[in-house]
Amino acid sequence: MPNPFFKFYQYLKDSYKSIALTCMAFIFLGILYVFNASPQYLVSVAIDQKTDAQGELGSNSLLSALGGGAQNGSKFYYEIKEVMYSMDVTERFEENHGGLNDYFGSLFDESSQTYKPLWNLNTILKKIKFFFLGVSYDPIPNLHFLNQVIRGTINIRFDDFAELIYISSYTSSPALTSKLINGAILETDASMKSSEKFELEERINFLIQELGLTSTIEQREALSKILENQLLKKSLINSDALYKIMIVRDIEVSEYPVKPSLSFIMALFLILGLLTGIGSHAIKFIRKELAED
Amino acid sequence: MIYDSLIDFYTLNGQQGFFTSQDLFIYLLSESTNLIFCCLVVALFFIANKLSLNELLFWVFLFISAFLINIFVNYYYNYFPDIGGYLRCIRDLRENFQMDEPGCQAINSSTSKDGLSFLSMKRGLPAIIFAFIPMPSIATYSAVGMINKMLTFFLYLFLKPLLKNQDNLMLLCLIFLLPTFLLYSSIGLRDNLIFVVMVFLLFFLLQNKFLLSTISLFILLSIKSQNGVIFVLPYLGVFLFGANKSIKGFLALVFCTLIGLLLIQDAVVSTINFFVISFVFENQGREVIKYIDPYSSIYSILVYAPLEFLIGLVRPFPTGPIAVLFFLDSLVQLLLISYLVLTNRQRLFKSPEFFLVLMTFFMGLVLNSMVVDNDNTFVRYKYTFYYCFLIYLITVNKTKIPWFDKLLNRHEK
Repeated sequence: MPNPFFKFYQYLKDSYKSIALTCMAFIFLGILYVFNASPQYLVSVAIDQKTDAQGELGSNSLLSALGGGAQNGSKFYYEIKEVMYSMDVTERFEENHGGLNDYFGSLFDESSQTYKPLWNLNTILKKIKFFFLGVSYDPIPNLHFLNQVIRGTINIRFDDFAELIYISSYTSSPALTSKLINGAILETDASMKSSEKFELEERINFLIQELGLTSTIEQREALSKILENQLLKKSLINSDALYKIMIVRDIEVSEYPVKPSLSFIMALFLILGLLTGIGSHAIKFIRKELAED
Repeated sequence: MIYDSLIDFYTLNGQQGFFTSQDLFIYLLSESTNLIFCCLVVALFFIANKLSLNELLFWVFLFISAFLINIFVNYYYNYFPDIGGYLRCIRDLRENFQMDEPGCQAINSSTSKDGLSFLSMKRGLPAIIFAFIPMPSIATYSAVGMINKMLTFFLYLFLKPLLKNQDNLMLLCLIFLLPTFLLYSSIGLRDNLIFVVMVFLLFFLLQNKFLLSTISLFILLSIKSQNGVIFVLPYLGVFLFGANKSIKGFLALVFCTLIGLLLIQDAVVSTINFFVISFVFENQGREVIKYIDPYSSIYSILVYAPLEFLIGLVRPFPTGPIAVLFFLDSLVQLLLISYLVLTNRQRLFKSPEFFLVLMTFFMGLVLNSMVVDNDNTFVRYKYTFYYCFLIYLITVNKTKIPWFDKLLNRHEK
């Protein structure tokens, strides 16, 4: 009885033309895909947490702790992620940078001053889903749509080794995405500022009260230092400068598109063609063997 | 083998919607290639007469199910935070023949000053093992999932000759269809690899294969030190006490284990307490930690162990839709274990080998039940011990299973 592998090999060998043809067909499909695919650039920026020392507010660790010192890198990463993807930042972005017009401007109806509904496969399927759930769904671009754009476009990654946060995006329109990333960083920082503002004011009021009640020179000196630190922080909050985020490397756009990768796509189509060819002949071979048995 | 060197990995970004994901086409293209490759490997085993036609179809079905499960996993990949690490390590290994990516190197997984510490390669070694399976495309997380399924297929081929009758083979195929097995053997985490290594180690031990057992134990210790430490006991039991052959040897092992636990009780208690606190902190945050009542001594751990074992057998409790599914899955597994033990009780209760495996299963389940706070994490950790024990019971089962007669309408002539 001949070796079954050898028989299979012979069968494949006899069918090499058909396998080669399948490969060619898939390579052709690959070429079509590459021609049709829109080139995508990489837009990225590296950020870090602004500590007191970096913000020139003094590096005294006690003062830093009293004033709400820096968190560890990964905690800051999760905080950035939550804030950047929040509706508050989306609202601020729309208010100050006009995101809806950038992304859904083509749907804006001048006569009625409203947006027309956005219909694509995703929204059509959602419409069907919500119909069955008995919820009305109208895909008119609004802040939630813009929030989806921010979440879908901006990728936030924490590098354990560098302890830096990388904000990046693959995009066909690098200028628009650069604007989105820049704006999102500014508004994230502004959102963080506003949430700390109240706490900071409370702290300053408390320190001023304590300063009035304390008589010993050493205690007054210590309290004055803490107060000075908090007042410097307040001045930063009230300025346009970034408060919690430090830009380590400013926004950069790749010189050439990084997607689609020609070699990867062609190799993928070639391997798929080869495996499809061999796979279909394996099925035929198995059926032939079973029929003979 | 092939990947896009400029892209970290392709995924179906959940925020953009599945059908409008920019990477959907590449994802499907990449994973179809892998699926065809996996089916082709199974077909080759069929052609070599190592599998029947039913087995061929069954494994093709399992690979297709892995493909479908991974579409869901890649859409909600944030539910599995560890999933990306292995892919990066494999790619770095294949691309540059090095392990420079974060977390791929050997690390000292010490717990506390008094606790036990181990050299661990929890990402690096799985990546090396995964890299041995020549999956055509490693552009997505799913590729690692398909590698895991392929490892399960090889495990099946290893177990097949050990099964004593056709019913056991069907039972083995049946457990491969249980929800937890379908999920964890299909996704790109290391739990399936741990499970496969544990099953190999268990059978090498029971077959007294010293070299293969030692290699498997070192692999297990490197990729999952907690499970490795538990398997050190049956390893010592088999090769020092002959605990799989005589009841006296088994009792000597139990006695020495208890003495050993008493001697290093500080390290054991502090290690268990460390993990309890770590898992609670990870799951519920800092505030809850102050309400934790740590184990005060090894005696309290031993007293609580039977209770934790019973809880661990059925956990997670049905608190939500997914928990209900896992709870029912636990009940089915428990039912199967009870059935196999009861039908073979005459032989099993006289067998030191059974008690040795039961002790390993007991310790694994108790340790995980004690320390793991998150139910989903517990299901993932339990998976390795539960299925390992079930597979052992299936291999020693000698009785015919009447359900299959009814199911397949078989009649004795």
